[in-house]
Amino acid sequence: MTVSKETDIKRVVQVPERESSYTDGELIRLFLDGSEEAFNRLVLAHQKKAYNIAFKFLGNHEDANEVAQDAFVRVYRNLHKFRGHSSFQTWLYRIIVNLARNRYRKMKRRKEDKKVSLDNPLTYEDGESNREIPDETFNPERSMRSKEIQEQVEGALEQIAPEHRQVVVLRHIEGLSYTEMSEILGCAEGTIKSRLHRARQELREHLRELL
Amino acid sequence: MSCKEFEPLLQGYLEGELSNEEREMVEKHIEDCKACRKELDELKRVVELVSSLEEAPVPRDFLQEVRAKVEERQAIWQRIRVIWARPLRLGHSFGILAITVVFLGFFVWMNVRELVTKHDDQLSREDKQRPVTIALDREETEEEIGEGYMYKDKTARFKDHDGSLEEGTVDTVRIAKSEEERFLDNSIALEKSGRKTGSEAAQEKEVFSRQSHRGRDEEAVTTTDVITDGKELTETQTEIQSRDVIAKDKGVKEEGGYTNDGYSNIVIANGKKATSPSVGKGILTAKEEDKEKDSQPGASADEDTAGESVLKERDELEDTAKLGAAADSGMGAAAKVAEKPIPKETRIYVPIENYTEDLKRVNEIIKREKGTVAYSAKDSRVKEDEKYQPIIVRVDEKYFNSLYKNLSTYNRKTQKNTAQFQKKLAVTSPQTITVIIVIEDSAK
Repeated sequence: MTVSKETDIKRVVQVPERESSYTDGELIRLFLDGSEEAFNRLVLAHQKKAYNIAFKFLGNHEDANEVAQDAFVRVYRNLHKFRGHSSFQTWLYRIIVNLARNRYRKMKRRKEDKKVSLDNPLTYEDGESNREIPDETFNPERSMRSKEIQEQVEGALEQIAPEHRQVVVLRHIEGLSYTEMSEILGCAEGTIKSRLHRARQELREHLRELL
Repeated sequence: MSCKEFEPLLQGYLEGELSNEEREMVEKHIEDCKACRKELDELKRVVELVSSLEEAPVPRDFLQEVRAKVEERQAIWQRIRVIWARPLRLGHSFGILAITVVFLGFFVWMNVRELVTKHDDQLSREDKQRPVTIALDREETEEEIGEGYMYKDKTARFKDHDGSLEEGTVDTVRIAKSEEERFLDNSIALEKSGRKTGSEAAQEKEVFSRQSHRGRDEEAVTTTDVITDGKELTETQTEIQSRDVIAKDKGVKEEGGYTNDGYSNIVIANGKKATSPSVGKGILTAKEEDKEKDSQPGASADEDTAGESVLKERDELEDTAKLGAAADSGMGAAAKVAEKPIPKETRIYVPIENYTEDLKRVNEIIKREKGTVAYSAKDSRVKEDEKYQPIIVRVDEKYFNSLYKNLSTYNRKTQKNTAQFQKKLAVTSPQTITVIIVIEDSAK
């Protein structure tokens, strides 16, 4: 089949070895010239950021993994349309934000389906027993303070509104500028600033005991 | 300055975007104001906590999985090659194409329904799009994988299994075989299966070419013509009738104008699948059609419009149903057809000339024919991209036929012959509104 032949040819095109690493722009050009290897490098260069943003948006690894992977699939299929008006990273982040947004909606629906009330006692064969919440305060295995803090912060992030979470992640974890953020999120800088403000205040409430 | 007024400045301070003067003001204020100092410290700490979050490690086979997904996705687009004409326009500059694409078996059908009912707003953004069915090419058959839209530049969009919007270029589009070719294929297949002799096939071919010729001339070719042509109806001759309708479509298309009549192609496409209750849209298979004709020669086909085969068949079904009900056991075949259940869901594409006016009239028809609108875009002031969302109508089975007939003929009958309307349709195509009729169980 001609199609598979083309694919084979594409794979043969290698990225020439060299000392310095390639820029995104160079890799994109190589990819558009037919190098699959260039795409792989692009993925390797950005996977960590992509995965982590998705994880921080969604709060669980399974969905984060799906979203990050799908984002790169989209990159692969749309790279020829990428005009370079923004940086590749901005473009990638925008894809992730959109995918994560959709995924988040799905997750919410899923959660609502599964929601179980704590007031509804679990019924066992030998009678009734109230659902127990494990008391984690005195759990010796979790003595690692920093890990605990990390989890608390992640938990707090999960509790704030998704659009607030997005701005916090992009601003304070990824360290992006307002301009980049407005490109990624598709809203005005003013909106982003006020969201950021509210987000920090919300987090402050949720993290009170750590402050 | 009150603390409240300081609030925005605190934020700016935190972001490090204040002028020297402002910064000094803030610093001076927090020296004196305990509350503001506390707030600022806490906010700083929040930022610190958030930004010190550790990065999660990427799953080890991340790249491999991405590659696997890429390949899977590519494979779909590489295999999409059968583009089947649906509402079709042969523009002067575009020699051909308009398109129907295709999809996969039954399980996808659910997605398709979801796509059409729920996500049409997302899909119908562009003006010159054309609804298509997307199918994979598989040897001699097509495997439907989705329904969506295709644009002039051959990019197509459809919903895939997990509901995400797919977009790709259908670069391996192959124009569906000509009607004649398809007809001959069919004859050969039938011949192989031993259901007729070579001379019969030759005769059919002749009939076919005569009909397609007539079709090209855009003359009124009615099914009755065919019936009178044949002395006694056979299964294969019934097939000729349906081909005939297609031939007529073809004729219209070759005139270079857009018509909404390309839908009869769907009839054929669906006819193939009519055995599956989920996709059958009340289309009769050749065999059933045959029985029908046997039972009521000449009773059908008062239509002279090219491409109204859907309607025609529906009319026939209706008539037959009446006949079947009136005449009892004496007309076994007709009675049999009458038993054929009306499909649970039927789609009609109503050509639209003036959105507000037509929508109003369509709604009037629905109301008059005892249908209940279950879903439609709110009013005529809806945004451009929401305008052509499908209307979902519920109706009791007993009113179905009349509702169907009225909707199917709307705008086609009244305006089809005015050159102006045809021209307009050609310019503004595909201005159609999809009406999905869902049969309501009368038992409820």
